[in-house]
Amino acid sequence: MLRLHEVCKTFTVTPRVRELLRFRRPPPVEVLHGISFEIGAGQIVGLIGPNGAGKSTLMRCVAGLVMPTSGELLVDGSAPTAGGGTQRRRIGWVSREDRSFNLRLTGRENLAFFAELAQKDGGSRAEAVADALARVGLTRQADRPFRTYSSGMRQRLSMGRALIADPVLLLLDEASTGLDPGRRESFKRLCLQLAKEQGKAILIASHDMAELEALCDTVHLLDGGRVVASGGFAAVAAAADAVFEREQAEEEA
Amino acid sequence: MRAQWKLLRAFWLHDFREAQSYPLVHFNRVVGLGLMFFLLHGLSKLVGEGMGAGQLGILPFLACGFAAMDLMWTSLGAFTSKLRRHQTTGMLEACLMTGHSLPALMTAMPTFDLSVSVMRSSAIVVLASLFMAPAPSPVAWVYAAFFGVGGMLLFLAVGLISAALLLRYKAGDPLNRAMHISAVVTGGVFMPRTELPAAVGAVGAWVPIAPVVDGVRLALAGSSWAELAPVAIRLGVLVAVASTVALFSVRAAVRTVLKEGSLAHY
Repeated sequence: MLRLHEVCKTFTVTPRVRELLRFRRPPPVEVLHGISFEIGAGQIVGLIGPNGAGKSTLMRCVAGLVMPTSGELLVDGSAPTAGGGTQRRRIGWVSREDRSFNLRLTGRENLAFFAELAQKDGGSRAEAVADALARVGLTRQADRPFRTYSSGMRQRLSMGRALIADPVLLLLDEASTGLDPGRRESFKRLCLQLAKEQGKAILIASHDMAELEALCDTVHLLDGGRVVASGGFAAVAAAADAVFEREQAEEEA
Repeated sequence: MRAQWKLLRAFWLHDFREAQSYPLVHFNRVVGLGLMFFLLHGLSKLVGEGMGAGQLGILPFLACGFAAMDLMWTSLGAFTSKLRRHQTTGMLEACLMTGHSLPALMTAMPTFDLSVSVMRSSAIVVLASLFMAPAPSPVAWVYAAFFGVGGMLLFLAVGLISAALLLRYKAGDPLNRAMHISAVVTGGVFMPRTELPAAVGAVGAWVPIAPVVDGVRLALAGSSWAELAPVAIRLGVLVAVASTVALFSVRAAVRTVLKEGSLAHY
């Protein structure tokens, strides 16, 4: 379903005028180094790591929103940017960015817009929107303007948007941020149902250890753009604790 | 083709619904149009008829210039402002996940703004034509529409070039102001180019807005197709050049932002 082999990403930094005048260029920033792993159908894989470890960049590479500098990245056998971007339709993306909806439209109208972009026609569009709203528990609030939604509701609508095109791979970048404890449980149930009953592959980036423990078959620990530990949650948890403690000590020093 | 049509429709409906959510939006637009026309009418009375407007009369002369300016202004502004807004809010990334290419999305984003501009510009020209004697013939309207559509294609291409520059360099689009200044000063928008020094007038004929205003004015004044042909050729050349530049500049900008990872950052 998802295969990454030796994926690297280096960002070039735009020079400032002062640097240009001195004929200097800022050094490139290496964000990902040789990332390799696979996710099969029905699997849930977690990404954990300190801030700046490269989790979101990796997610963006998988989503085809950033091109890797080198390496191979295949979603269901094709690069995510294949077919002029049509392959992206097979990927559901939930980010922390809740401004990606129109504040003046209702939740339903917002989802209908994305459903239309995803080539859903009249009847099937309304059905897909209603189904997505029901899955994330927003049916009652569907006709309220998005600007009246709480941060948790906005996050759930984002999850609903990701499900509209019935993707084979879901990318959840800190998707449960802002959810109350009850909704967190619903979120976990939904993820398990999507993976185990519908065979969707899920990649979750999160700082919530309990969430990763409850959901993930495999967890990868990212540090400085490299995968430094992989395996079941128990195997990675100790290494993750050590990385977080080191980060904290460096910050306090 | 069908997919692109659906994309245009989706963005149009999205922005239309947003506009509808503001109270009195349509009333305000109609009042704005009325005020604008009232000002143009007042201005034409002040200027008088002796400014080289020819047989068209000063009010339709100004109205045609203003209508073309509105179309160009909206095209240049709408592409860049929509792109910037969707970049900073993360909506662009969300739209890309629906399987459309960035150039396709960039083209579709300003559909509503452009449609409003087309309606506003058409209304100004039609209102001004009521003050023309004799009124333009149906054939004159067809010719004028031809130049209007051609102008729209030209401004779309220039708008895309402007958006590509914004995508690539993030800020400081050099094209926008240059286009406006050249249009106002040398394009014959508010002042006939015959009043300018010969060299400036000759250069002004190749400013993108010039063949649009020239074509619409000549058409409404009752010119034959033979008289309009040189202007149509000038417009065709500009459309071809601008479309080619737009195609390459958008492709290059998209490649760069995907490499840089700067799609969502403005």
